[in-house]
Amino acid sequence: MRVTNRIIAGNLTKAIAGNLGKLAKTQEQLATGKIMNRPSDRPENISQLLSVKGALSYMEQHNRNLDDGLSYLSLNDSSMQNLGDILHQASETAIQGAQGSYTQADLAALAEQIDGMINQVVDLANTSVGGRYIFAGTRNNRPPFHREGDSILYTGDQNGIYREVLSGENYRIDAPGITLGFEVLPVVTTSASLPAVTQRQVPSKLENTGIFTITRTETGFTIENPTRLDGVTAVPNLATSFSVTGDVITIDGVTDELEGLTIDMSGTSVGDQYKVVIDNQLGVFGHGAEIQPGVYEVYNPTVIKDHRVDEGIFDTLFKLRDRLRQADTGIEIEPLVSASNVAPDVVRMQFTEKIENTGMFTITFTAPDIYTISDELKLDGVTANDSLVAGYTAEDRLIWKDGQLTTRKILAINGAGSEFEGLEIDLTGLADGDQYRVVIDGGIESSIKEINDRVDSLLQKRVGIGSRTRHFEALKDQILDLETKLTESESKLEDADIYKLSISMSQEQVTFQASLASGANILQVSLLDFLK
Amino acid sequence: MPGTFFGLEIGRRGLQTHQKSLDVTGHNLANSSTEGYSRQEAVYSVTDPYTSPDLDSMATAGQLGSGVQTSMIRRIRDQYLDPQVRTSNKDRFYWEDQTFVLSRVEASFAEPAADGIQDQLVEFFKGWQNLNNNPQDPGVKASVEEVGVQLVSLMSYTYRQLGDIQESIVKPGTLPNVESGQLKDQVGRVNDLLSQVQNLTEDIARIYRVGQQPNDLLDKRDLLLDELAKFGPLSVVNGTTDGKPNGEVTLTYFGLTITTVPRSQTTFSLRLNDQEGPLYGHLELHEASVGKVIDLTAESGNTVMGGSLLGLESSRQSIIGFRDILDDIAVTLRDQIRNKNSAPPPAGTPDFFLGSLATGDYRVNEAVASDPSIIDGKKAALIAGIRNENMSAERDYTLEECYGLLVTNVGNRARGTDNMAANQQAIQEQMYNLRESVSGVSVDEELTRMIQFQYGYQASARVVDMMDEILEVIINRLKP
Repeated sequence: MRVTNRIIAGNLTKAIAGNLGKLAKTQEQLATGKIMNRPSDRPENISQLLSVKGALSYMEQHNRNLDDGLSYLSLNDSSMQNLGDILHQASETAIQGAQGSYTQADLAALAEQIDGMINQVVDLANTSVGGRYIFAGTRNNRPPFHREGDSILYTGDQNGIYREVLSGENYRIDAPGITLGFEVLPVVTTSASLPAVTQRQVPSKLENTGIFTITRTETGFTIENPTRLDGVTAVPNLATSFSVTGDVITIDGVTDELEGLTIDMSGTSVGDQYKVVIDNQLGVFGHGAEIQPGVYEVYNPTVIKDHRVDEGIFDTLFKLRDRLRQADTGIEIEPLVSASNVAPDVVRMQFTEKIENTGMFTITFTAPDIYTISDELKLDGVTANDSLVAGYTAEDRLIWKDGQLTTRKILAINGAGSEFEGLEIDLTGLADGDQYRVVIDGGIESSIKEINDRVDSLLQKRVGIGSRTRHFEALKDQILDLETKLTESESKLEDADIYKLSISMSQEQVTFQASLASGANILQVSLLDFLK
Repeated sequence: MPGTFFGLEIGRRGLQTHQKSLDVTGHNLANSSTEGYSRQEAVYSVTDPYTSPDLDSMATAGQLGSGVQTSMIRRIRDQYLDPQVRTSNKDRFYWEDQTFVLSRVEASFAEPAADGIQDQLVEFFKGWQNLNNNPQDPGVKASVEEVGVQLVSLMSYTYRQLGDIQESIVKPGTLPNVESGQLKDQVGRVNDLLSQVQNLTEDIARIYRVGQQPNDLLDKRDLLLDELAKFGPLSVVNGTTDGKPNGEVTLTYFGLTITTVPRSQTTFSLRLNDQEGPLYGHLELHEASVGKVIDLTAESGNTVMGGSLLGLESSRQSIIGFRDILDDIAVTLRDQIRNKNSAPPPAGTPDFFLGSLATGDYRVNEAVASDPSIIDGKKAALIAGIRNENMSAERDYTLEECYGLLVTNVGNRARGTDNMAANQQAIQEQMYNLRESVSGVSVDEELTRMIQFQYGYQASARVVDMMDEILEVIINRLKP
């Protein structure tokens, strides 16, 4: 091929530019320490690099969330431990009070101790971490519990506190302070407001729990997919029979497991679907007691005002205090019909081994000498308990009363098969048709049982918190591990191999200098040099 | 018998011819660096001998040579290389013009090194997680708002920058007109080149008609045609009369035939389709009398057709695509936050972002900006969760993945174009070198020939000198 000066000059310029370009690239990589300085450097890896960088950044956030969660959890745990201690003290106090050797004044002093404990519990319930009150749900920037006289008011909400600790995985990190025992969740909805549960189940049915969906149709409502709380096991008769008045659904319990549950569906529109979860779970401090239409909003606490707290530790302590104050023996006899105006005396309590049995029944006197016992019920006043009083006799007995032996009419519950045994009541002087209800609730003794129940449920919650803590700690380790690996792969993707680059750099420098040198030599030589 | 001064005449012819060659050599040397110049050569031929035998001619010993003449000055050029050079030209500039645009596009995305949109997106979602940790904290709410503002301004900035680059290629005026831009300038240059070619051809044809070869004008026209081929597909057919070139050419440009005789009045212009329908907004190349010549938008991926007009349109379409994706991310983020906030019970202020990048009013809701405490902290977990959600049922990737995809596309497009441009440049330079190898001026070669012609000239001068001496004898020394 014929080579002209222009060809040489052109090739040389191109070679120099090319070599310089390579040098500049290598130099840039050496200077930044990265092989990826712009998307076109390695487009096949850029997406991966971006996602690794994103993941690393989130990992930092997840780590922070974990730390935050752990501090929440540990405070949850320690405040529940303190609660346990208080309950323990309360239990000891109750045992002292139940011994029967204390005078009224002694019991009153014990009652004051319990009252003080209630204040202590309020303080514990207002535990905060970094300005956030741990038992207040998400409305947590103010102390949620307030004692006003003998009622406790709650101004938090029922939302759980969740932390995302893995991508897309949220875990609850608080033990609920106050629960409602149910939740209404939207599945499909175009409406702005949620249905409101306006009445909980009747007390005797509180053990029944489950999940079902309500759909609003053109013509009314359908209740579908009733299951256990696991969301899997079907319960065909969870909520089958219900009546609708206006927009309010009442599950009536004729063939249902649930009963008395009332849900106000007003404000919803056709096609809306809601999931109703009834778990009747007690919060650490019990239930929010009052349900009023319009008050309940799962997410929007601004309308929740002053929930009175019920059925929890506070209730138990208040009851214990009151029982101590009243020196409650555990038996109350109230007249239903009493022409004679006699106040019957308890002559003897139940046998000690039967002391746990509670319940109520009605005694009716028919002249001249017939005593009937009816309406044997559990303490809730609803559930029948026919074996409460199986055998009883009404007999005249000589007993020592008011400083002399007198003949009195004594009703003795003694029969085998009775739950009550050994109970004796003085019924002297009744008139025809008199009716008395006898309520036996165990008195201070039953407070001991209630406290034990509270301790048990507290323990359950602590176990839950404990396992979440272990879970989070394991995750922290895992994240640390993952971080190392991700940093490594980030480095593999974008970091420059300095040694390799340095060698390339020297090679490219040699090439560049050679191209300059050879070009300079060739261009200088011409026939002109040899012409005279 | 030739005349007395026959020998002098031969000498004179030798002198003249070699002088002409020396002139041509000088012209070559002077133009050794001129773009598009083909080296020229004076073609020697022997003059008619003395004398053609006929009945009257004396019987002498053979014919007598009468010297040399320059029969023509030709340019040395391989006409068959030109179409290849032009093809390589359109292929090269289809890619090369794109690389300048796309490297600007790439520079608009500050990834992966600096704090780009990806980083801001991550920070944005992290802000919501922090808010979930402290749902009531007004400080955290303010920082969520602040990160939102940063995200918005970064996205808007990138979107606008891409828009500026897009408008530097084609800036639409009142439809269907194009107001300005590189493409419009190039079409203007095409028109200019075509009219120059027409003017030159008139001169060339005139010179051909008087039987001469307009070497320098032909070079000039070929150079113009080379440049014309940068912009689009060009084929050239040289006109002939009786098998000889007459200087006319017939061009086919973007499939449109342009003749020099009769002279075609060609004026190209750009139009944006303003008819409702699938072609709305398409960029079209129009010719004043013919109408639409080609739909540049539809053909923008046609690398076989090539040329920088299509190349620029192709990169413009890429930019439009990139902007659409960016806007899609912005709008999807806006809508998803609204959806989360509207789920019952709704937050008081459902919109965190308002507007869109496309309409140029993407912003953090003024209500939120003026009072961040109205952000509903209880929605924070849901909104932070958007990060892990697909953009929609059909687009089964998350916002961040979508952005990663966008950056990958930008990078791929920039690098692919760079590679193609480098390849095509190498090919084109190879073709140029081939042509240069034939037509280029080699200084050493010309110097060699210069010496050769110089000696030829000196020799002819010696002949004249010798003749002079002979005639001196005849004219001055012989005494009658």
